Amino acid sequence: MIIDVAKDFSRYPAGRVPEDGDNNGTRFREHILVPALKDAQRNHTTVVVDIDGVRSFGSSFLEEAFAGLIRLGKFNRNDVKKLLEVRCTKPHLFIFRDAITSYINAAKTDEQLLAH
Amino acid sequence: MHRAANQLKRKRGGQSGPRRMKVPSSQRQMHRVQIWQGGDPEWAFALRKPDLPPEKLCLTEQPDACFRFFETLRSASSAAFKKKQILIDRNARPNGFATIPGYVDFSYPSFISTAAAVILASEFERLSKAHGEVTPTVDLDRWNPDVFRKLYQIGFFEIVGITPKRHDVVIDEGDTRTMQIIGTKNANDLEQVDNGIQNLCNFVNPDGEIPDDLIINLLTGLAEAIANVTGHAYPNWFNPEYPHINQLWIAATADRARKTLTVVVYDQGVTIPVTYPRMKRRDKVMTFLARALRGTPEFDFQNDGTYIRAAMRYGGSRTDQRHRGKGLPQIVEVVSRSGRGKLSVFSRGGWCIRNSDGRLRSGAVSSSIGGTLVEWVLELSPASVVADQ
Repeated sequence: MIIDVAKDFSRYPAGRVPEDGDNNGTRFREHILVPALKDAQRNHTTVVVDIDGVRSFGSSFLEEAFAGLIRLGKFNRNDVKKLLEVRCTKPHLFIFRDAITSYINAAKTDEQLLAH
Repeated sequence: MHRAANQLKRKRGGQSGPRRMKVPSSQRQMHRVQIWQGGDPEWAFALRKPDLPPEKLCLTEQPDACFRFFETLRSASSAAFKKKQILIDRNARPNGFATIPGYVDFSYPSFISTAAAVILASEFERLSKAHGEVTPTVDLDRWNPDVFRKLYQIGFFEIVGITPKRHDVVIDEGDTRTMQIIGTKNANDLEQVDNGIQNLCNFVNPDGEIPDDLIINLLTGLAEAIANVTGHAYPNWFNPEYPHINQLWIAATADRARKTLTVVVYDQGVTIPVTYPRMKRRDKVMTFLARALRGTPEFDFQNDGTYIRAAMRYGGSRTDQRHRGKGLPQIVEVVSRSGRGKLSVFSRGGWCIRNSDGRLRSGAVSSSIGGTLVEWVLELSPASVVADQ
């Protein structure tokens, strides 16, 4: 399955929660990413997130949408790494692709944060 | 020339009516002025001498005078609101004239920066909303032409409610093109900002060689700034007696001669020096603050620049969640990714400026600008240089 962020969500993903705007990371995670990943998990496929068309990509959006999967216990890190692929062909967007990877790698569940 | 501009110019051109007094208005107590709320201009008596803005309304060139002016303006507006004073009293009418309690003399300043124009517009909008009445201009025909032009370009008269909303969102004047202020509550208007900024970039470089990544970086920085405002600027416990407008203001100006793009985001919120000390901070931040803060400040807000500097270097989080609170450092990172450019953050009485070479300098004055303003000055050509001031 391919999620084209610009077409399927917004060219201007921004912010973390609804107060930050309609195109926030929570909405992307809950309404698009989680259902797609669950579907992929059931069907033993993968989800490709294509970020080529976006015009903004704040860290708060990326952290909430992608690290939030792990932080909130929706999926564990290994599952996210297996199921999710970020596609990007524009060099100036590579930094966002890499940011998604590093947010996923650094994400901790709320329990882990409390224990720390 | 736009019809609205012509209309404003006619208002500024002088009308038939009582002859002007020869004594400068700033020297007189009760004196006659011409006021305008968008309809026909009318004559009124001002009950006291006007407040004088600094000669240059610029946060970086005259910070002390500029911060003090905004504080004075806000205090006067707040006092009028608390006393339920009306903006124009048409009941008293000595000699048939209405009266106004006071005003700002905009014939005096010869320059206003984009940042100062945004703060001024937001304060006038606040005054209009608090009183439920359009704040009038006073002696518009005497206003300095450069100051008038900047305020017109930025949409000041629309925001205050004097003229109807324009459809043209950018206006050219010589070597500059300005995107009028976009007032918004969140990131939903990023597309409008994107269109405006692309328009400004095309103005600076008509060959269309402004790289897309520069605009995307800028929009990303803006998205972070907006998230900062929605997340921190107007917390539930912040309930000032003089009601703020729970939103932010975005404006931008391109300078073709200097090949620069200036983008400003302003909010009337609780400010960094108020929120930052309330945050749970990491050890290295505590060490930095312990070294840099003055134990006994010599004046109010003296430590404000230090708090802003710490927030830009280390970030922080009022929510005490580690995945949050990286707003300002992210903006700094975005600016550094964009190549040469200057980032300035002004909040309450302090400021911190990151120059093109990455160096930070900070300072503070004893007055408050009444919110937080973030300003980027991006160089759109490697050959150009962003001056410090």
